[in-house]
Amino acid sequence: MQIGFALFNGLTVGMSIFLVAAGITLIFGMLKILNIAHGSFFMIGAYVAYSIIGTDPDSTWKLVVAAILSGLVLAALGLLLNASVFQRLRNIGEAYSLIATFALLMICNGVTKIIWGVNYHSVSAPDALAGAVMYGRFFAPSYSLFIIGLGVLTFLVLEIVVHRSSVGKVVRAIAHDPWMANLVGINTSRIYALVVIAAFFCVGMAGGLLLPNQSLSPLLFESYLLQSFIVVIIGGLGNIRGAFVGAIMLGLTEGANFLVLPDIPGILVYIILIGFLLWRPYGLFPQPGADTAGQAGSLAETEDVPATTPPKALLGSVVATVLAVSVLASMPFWANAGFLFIIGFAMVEAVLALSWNLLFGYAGLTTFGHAAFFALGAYFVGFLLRQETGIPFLVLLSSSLVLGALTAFFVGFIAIRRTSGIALGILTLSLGEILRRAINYSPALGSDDGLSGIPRPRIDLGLIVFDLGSERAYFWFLLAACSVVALALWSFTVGPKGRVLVALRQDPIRAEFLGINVRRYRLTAFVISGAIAALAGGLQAPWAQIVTPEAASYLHSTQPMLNTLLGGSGFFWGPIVGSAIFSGINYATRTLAGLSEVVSGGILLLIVLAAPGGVLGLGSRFGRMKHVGALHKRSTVNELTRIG
Amino acid sequence: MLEVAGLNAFYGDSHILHGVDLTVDTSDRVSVLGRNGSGKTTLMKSILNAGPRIYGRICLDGADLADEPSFQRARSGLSLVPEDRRSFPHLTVRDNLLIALTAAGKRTGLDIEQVLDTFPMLKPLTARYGSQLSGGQQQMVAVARGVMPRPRCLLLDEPTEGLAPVIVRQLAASLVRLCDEFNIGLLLSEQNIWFARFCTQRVYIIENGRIVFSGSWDEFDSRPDVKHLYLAV
Repeated sequence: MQIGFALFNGLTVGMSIFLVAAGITLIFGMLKILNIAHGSFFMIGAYVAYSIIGTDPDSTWKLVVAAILSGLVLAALGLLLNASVFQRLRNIGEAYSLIATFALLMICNGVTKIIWGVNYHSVSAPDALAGAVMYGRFFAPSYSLFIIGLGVLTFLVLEIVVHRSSVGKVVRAIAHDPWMANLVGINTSRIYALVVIAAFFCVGMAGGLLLPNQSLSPLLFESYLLQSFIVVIIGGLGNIRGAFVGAIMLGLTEGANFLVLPDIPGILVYIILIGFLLWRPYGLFPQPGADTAGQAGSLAETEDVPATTPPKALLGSVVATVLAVSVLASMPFWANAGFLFIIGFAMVEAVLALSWNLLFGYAGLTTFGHAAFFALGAYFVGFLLRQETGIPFLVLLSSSLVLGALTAFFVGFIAIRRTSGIALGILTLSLGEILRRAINYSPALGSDDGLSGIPRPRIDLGLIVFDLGSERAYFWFLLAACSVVALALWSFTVGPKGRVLVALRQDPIRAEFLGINVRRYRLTAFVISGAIAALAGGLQAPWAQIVTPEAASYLHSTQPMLNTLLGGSGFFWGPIVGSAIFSGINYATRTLAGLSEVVSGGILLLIVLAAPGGVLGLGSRFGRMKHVGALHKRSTVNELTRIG
Repeated sequence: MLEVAGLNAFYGDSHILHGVDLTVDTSDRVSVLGRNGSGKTTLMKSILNAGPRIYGRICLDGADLADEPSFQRARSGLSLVPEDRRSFPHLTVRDNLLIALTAAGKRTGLDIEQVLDTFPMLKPLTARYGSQLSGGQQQMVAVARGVMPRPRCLLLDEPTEGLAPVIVRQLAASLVRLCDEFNIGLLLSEQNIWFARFCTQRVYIIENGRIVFSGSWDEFDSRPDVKHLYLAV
């Protein structure tokens, strides 16, 4: 009885996820854009419908009309975004289009908060759907049946359109070869626009129809985002049938989770997802060609991302570095406490971003779970400082470094061997989520509230004792530590190993032909990167004096990405510039909920669309016009080989 | 019918075509010969505006195509069969041919049965998917797909590359029959001189992105130096 109920509930969850996942997979199948913002559009659809009918729809009919209206609003939004954003994203690399849709997510969430506020609302199901259907001993809520019916109906409609209709043939032709489709006279841009509009209409309508399914808040996007991602990945990107099967599997897993591990909801899905990705990184129904998630090297090849360039003007960077460090060092004398606090955070975030860019900008790996390493270090140091074990602080920090390195070795050893591209991204994202949930539900680590009141340590070097108890003292220590780490990373990247990484990032296959063990170099980068991220966490714990599970969340994982891309991933110092700018924006917009997300997201989107080289890239673009860079030569060679 | 004048084409900063002039009259069949890397494929793609950045005049029946996108060019009667064939793998052979009728626009395309009659090799394969064909079969599908919208001018890019000699002969026969029967003009880029001579009446030679010779096959034969200079390996 209980089993049946749990599985039935799971199925309801699965079908509601499918309604969102269908749009993601449809857009990916056609435009090859993984729309991270789709969960946010679902949320906007829900809010629009809520604005139309309020909290108590008195008939099913009204709910449906509101849902259709909200679908239309979203379709119009889709039309607008297709022309302004998606069309441009087709010409830039996969990693950058991910970042762009993430920027859309931030903007959507910010706008939602500004328009509708941050309060929770709960919408009740209309009377006709509020009851339950009895079937022998088994009873099912009518509304759940309604959702399941909706999911199956959506699936059938999409299935018939894609696989049985003449429109579907055009769609399949474009999905596989847009260039050739154009040559047989198909107006591909128009079809793209139609697909985006259809996907947005569906997600808007789903948002309305599922209003009574859960409470309405600016956090609504989150559950739908992650879970529909999982469904899409399991099914094989771009595959509607796969997404449907994936949604059912996810729902049943959720149901099983409720029965087996009721204390830690949602964790089983991630564990199964990781196993699944390692087993079949291409999804259940992989399609040949571009429709796969784990396609080897898919991230590195098509990109027009500027490759990391070895620094040239050494003297200039030395002067800039010395200047920046002296300004920072003088800050405790003139900056107010709040500002100083933010700068301290920015320095740690900069180190985290540097470590992430070692993977992205140098090794050519895009990970979405970097915050997990950070949280590992932060909790490790925070927990032991609170216990007052008497272990010297520098030993603690070194241990966090080792802890990060070991974890990264284990994760990387398996992950890099089995996956790449989007699959690696999702795998690391899942690991991060598992860690966050595990922390969330462990009382020893303070659960939701985290560890607070972490004391700031003293450093006893025998002859001299540094008391880092004051804000000012710890700030200087933080500055020194971050500078040392940054310099160490820098000297690594300009050394022989760093050069190999740059080569490998530009063309892993050619690098392999030159006798470079690509996998080992990537693993090395992964280990160093994880170690430094953990160290950054360890450094931050006593500064903030509190560590919360948010440190491990995927939102925190995206911070280093945003900082890196904002500053310029092709420059070693790019992440630091980005962190500084981001902190400035956050500081300036901190008072109004939502505004900071809109501003940060807007800037990010602008950068990806207008200047994929980041802020530093803008500056050097003029220089590059005169001196044709190494990357430029390479692309010319590639083009020449294409000319028959 | 098809007039190309002063065509310059670029990939990024590299200048591939340098002021190419070329005409194909109604129902005219013309070859473009040249070595690897001489710019043949770029020329074909440029005419369809399908890749390179182009400057110059491309006119079809007197109308300047200016910056029309490729799907519009396809609809106005230019049909490109790319050298890598590109049959749609997830569609059956029949659907591969039928989808090309999109390019017929307001004109009427050919009847699929008629086209299949011309390519006897394809008849038993109509229900197969594009991904289940051999290279020769794919080439036949690509050419058949190219003629389906009954283009004013068919652009064939190195169709014989990698084909067995017997298939090359079959292809040549089918091609000539179709072009004659339906008044389709042909612009053929080739390295196989036998095939080019069989299918066309005139020849251009392209070298380093410039047209270096143009004339009838007789004129070509009377200039062994040209053949030696631009085509010998």
